[in-house]
Amino acid sequence: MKRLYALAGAVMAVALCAAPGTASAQNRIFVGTVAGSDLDGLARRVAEVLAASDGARWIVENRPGAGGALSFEALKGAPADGATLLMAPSGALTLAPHTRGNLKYSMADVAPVSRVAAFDVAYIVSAKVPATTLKAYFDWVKQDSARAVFATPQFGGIPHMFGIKLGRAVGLPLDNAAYRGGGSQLITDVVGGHVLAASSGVAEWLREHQAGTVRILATSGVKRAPQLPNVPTFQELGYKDLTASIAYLLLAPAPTPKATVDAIAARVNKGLADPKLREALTAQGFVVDGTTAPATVAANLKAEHKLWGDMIKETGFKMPN
Amino acid sequence: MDLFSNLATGFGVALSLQNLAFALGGVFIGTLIGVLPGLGPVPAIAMLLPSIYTLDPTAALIMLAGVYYGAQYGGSTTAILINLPGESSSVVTAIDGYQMARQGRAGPALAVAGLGSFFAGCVGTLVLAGFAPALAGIAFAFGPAEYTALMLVGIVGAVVLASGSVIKAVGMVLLGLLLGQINTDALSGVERFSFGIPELTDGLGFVAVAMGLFGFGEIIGNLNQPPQSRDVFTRDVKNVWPSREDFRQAMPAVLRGTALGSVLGVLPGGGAILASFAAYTLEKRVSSTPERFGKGAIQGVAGPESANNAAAQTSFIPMLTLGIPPNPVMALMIGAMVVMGITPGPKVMTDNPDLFWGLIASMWIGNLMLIVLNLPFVGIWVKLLTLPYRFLFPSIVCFCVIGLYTLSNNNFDIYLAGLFAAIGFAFIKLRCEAGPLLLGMVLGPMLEENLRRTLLVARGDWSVLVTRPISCTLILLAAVMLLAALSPAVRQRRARAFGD
Amino acid sequence: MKIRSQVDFWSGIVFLVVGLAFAVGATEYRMGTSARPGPGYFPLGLGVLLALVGLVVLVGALGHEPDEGELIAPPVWRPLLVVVGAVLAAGFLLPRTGMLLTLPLVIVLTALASSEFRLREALGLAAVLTTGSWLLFVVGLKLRIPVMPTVF
Repeated sequence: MKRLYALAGAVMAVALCAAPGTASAQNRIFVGTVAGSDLDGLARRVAEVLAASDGARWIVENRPGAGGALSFEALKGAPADGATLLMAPSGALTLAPHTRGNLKYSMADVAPVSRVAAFDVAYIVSAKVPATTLKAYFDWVKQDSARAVFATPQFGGIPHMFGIKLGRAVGLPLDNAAYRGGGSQLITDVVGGHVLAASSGVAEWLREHQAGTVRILATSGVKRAPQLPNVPTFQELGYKDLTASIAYLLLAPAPTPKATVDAIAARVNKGLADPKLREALTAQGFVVDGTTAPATVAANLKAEHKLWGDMIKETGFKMPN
Repeated sequence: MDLFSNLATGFGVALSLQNLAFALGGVFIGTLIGVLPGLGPVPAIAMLLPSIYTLDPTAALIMLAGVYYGAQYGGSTTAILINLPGESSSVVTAIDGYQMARQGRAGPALAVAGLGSFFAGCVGTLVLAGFAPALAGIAFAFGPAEYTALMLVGIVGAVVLASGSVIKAVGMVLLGLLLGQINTDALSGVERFSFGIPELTDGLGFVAVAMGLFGFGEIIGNLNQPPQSRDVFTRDVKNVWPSREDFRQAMPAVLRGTALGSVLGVLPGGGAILASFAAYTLEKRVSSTPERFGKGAIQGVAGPESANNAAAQTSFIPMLTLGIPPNPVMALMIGAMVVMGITPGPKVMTDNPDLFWGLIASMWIGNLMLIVLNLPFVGIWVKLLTLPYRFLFPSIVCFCVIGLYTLSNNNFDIYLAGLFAAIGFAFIKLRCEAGPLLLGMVLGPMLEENLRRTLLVARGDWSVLVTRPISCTLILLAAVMLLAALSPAVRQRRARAFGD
Repeated sequence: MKIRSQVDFWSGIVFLVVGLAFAVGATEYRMGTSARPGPGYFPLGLGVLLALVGLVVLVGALGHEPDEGELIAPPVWRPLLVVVGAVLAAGFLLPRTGMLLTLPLVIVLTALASSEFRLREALGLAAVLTTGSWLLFVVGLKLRIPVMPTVF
């Protein structure tokens, strides 16, 4: 018995000495979703890129909860030395502050590092809808008000706002059916014709569009989505201010020194220039960026923030109580 | 026949030494993850992903599939041994499985669970191989109205699950449904009942609540007994292997569970969860001795476990043929496939036949590996239970606490489990069963979301639920089940009233 | 009228109180209409239903003679308080003092719940479990668990 205790004690002593080594010097990227989401996958790619460029260990730490707000709080609490970063969607910074009441973070808490990838918002209809162009779709909706419903993967997110904007631009108020967390039920319902239209990020719908079970009528970028060369943009169709995109950003805590931020940005953007990585990410539906300087990203964020703010005021949209 | 030649190709691919090694590795990792309370397959797979990018695609997917099955089976193991369901699908297994363990029959319970799962896996693989496109069509026939009806069937099923007072079970289900309302409303974005605590805005975590109610509550309950009766598992351990009688009783349950699970697994989102307790409800209904359920009936383990595994197999169908992932694990697998340049979808079968059929064949092999790996372990697990309780229960608490932390890297889940431990103990004292509550908590949000969505699309017309054929059938089924469940209770009450 | 079944009586009370609590809380949210239910619709309905069920169970628990089999045995307080306390302590300490300090403390504390507690055994168990957990979770599975204290 005594020998067992001695052995256990020895092992514990070893552990106590070795443990600090494993605990510290961890570079990490926070992500506000559970493992396996698009955002998480992208964060892991970025972690690989960073690890390859400086030989240190970079890991992704999932901090789900409160719609991503907890990951922002984790970033706020972290030291601003360039070892802790956050990957988050742009909507969390530009849209959420207008629509969500007691948000405990804001743009002032973060220093943007890089715009890693983005994708457009697409307007999709089920193959069961007898319309192949946006105009035909709206004519069809006008015939029966029961058809004025569109689904989104979330309530109050960018696709939702986009749908509202679209409805106003056409003069047809569209009703929203939000699906918690998007995903398979949303896609199946649209393909099955139970909900006839959706506004959502392009990435998830590429396969269905190519299989012909749904039709992407238009996308929201300034240019056509690279994976969809035959689908017009809303701008092309005459809706001048219907552009939006969902960007996945790499962020650092606000007090991080500018030199550190620029250094990290340089490494990430260099890694993102790798053609194989770009190809893989594009196949997934992303439009890979990695070329925008931190200052530009910050400026764009501010502009987007104002844009959504104006739109919210204009439509009088409020998160209902 | 085309099917067999395809399967032959598949086995040719899967039986390569490298792929076999990956299957074994995946199953091993998966079982480990499943057995450790709190840990789920998703974070582990996500961590394996970077190394997966460098592997041969077929090998990588084979390993991922192995992890998935392993985790499922591991979760059932803890449900049976220590009343800790790792996922919602193991809750049902815990009900009778744990009781069997308490009667010294942990060995047969584990063995039947494993063998039943294996059988279901084989059948499921055949179904997948032969009927994939047809079954995929079923998924599309289910819209919000049908899901609502399905959830109603599930909720009534949760009531039938209880072995004690039916009316109290109804109360527990309602309580579970209410607890499920603590979340951010899907259709309007309103944060409900969150008392300003950000961690509550996404709802009460299933694992935390299950651990508190089932696992910790049970430990406290055990400690309430005098020491001699605590080591109840170990005093009277009977055979480690099921008896002839066990096999005879379990076999029909396995067959029914497999059939049920194969169909339900195809439905994205809700299907697999329902499979296990639809099977349990079915077993209870067709049994000639329903009063044995809840006290260690082997059909109560065999049926749900088979349904579970069959659903796990067929849930690959929407993923492989349509590229729609029904759960987070599959989402990761799709991510991995896309990264490797393979687009899941109807063309996977024709563009990458090696991959598709190799994957199917390796699922079968993965199931076989599970049996090969786990059956010898049954003896070890039973031995582990012979540890004196005063060593066993702190260990359980230790692993649970760590597992809870790793769920979202947040200590909130630990607090939640502690709170529900106290609540769980109270329920044990009040003889209210926790199973229906837990299931109500899982199904409630899905029911509400789908019902409100149905109304939205139908412009407020509730009759849609009965005018659409599938949902009408399901609602009638739910009504029949509820009446059947309540009638003995009503009769009992009247007898008592007259007897007074 | 006396309480026939203590167990059912108190179950009924719990259902009634919790049901009413949720129902009252639900009124804070928009009800909407039955054609377009709002966020408060279902909690209100479910809460009312639960309260009703509680009432039914309560009434059913009344009778003439207390039923011996339906008494609530007084709980032994030590296991309940110790286990719940240990779990809550674990939740509090883990992110602040790290795994290597928290686990031994929590394990020994938990073991106290048993009337067969022996300090030496508990300490030994704590050593084994802590080391084992560190090896398994942090080194083996590479999970992100705080190991060392962050508070001091």
